[in-house]
Amino acid sequence: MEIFENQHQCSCQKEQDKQLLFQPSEAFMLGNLFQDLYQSYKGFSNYCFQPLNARQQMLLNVQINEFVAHEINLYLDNHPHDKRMIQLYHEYAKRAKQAQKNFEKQFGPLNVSNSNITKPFQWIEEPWPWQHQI
Amino acid sequence: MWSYSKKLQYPVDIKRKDIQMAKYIITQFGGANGELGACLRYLTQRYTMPDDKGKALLTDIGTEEMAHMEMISAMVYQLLEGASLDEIKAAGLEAHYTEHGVSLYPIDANGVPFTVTYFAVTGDPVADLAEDMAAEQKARTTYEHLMDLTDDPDLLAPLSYLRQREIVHYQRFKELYDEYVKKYYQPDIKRCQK
Repeated sequence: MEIFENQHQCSCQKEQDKQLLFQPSEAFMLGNLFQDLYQSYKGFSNYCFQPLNARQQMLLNVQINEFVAHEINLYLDNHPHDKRMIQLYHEYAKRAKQAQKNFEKQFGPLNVSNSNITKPFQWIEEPWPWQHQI
Repeated sequence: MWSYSKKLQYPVDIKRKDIQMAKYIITQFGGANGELGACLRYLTQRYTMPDDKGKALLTDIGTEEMAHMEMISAMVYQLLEGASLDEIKAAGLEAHYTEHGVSLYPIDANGVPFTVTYFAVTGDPVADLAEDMAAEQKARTTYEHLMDLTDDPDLLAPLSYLRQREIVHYQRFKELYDEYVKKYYQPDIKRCQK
């Protein structure tokens, strides 16, 4: 996580390539990984999630890591030569994959192809995303 | 192609039924500045982007907009859950109820159905990206208006999150817009070397 705190000490990147990043859970809460892009509305700030059970905790872990990877993905579309951010992308994509694996082991598939070979077909089981599954 | 992941991009768990807010928030599904329009706009414009950056960015942001449409739909669905006929009447949603029950349908806050004329595809990357930047700003404003209309933290959290996404998307579109203007419309300008 050091990379999130010590941007200013990195001298290997050009000035415009340096990105000051929020911590993953804070970035997810705010909807923005990049500190210099963040703009609040009338001082409103989101609150940190307090997962109520293991399912929520494990799903949140997938969502947070996927979000960070996705934010870096959008950045890299425009800056495909930023080596540090490419590394960071792969780090978070890997974490997201692992988090998804952990979730699916206990709570069923997020992607249909990860369904267990059981009857009835595991994929159709509730909850669906709009059913307060958080 | 796309593959579906059985989760929301960001949690939506609304405990307080609010038919009036459902009536307003649905505009971010089917309104002029809504997520359905955003998603169709970017995923249609991407084919004529001039280089790899544009093709990638419009694909990736267009894909994220689908996830936002899903969040908005989940919000409307949960806000209407268990609504009685009296509550539907009190919120002035009888017409919606007549046509759609308490189901989802892409309309704006005035009940006007979605139309593809909400977005343009010109084939000119600079013109298209300028529209995309404006679209993100208009969506940001709409989210702010929606935030003004509620004090429910379960609504404010996802609305604030979605508003922030518009800000990030705007920045990405602007970066590409500036690059394309220099590349395609000012290629002969000699720039000062630092």
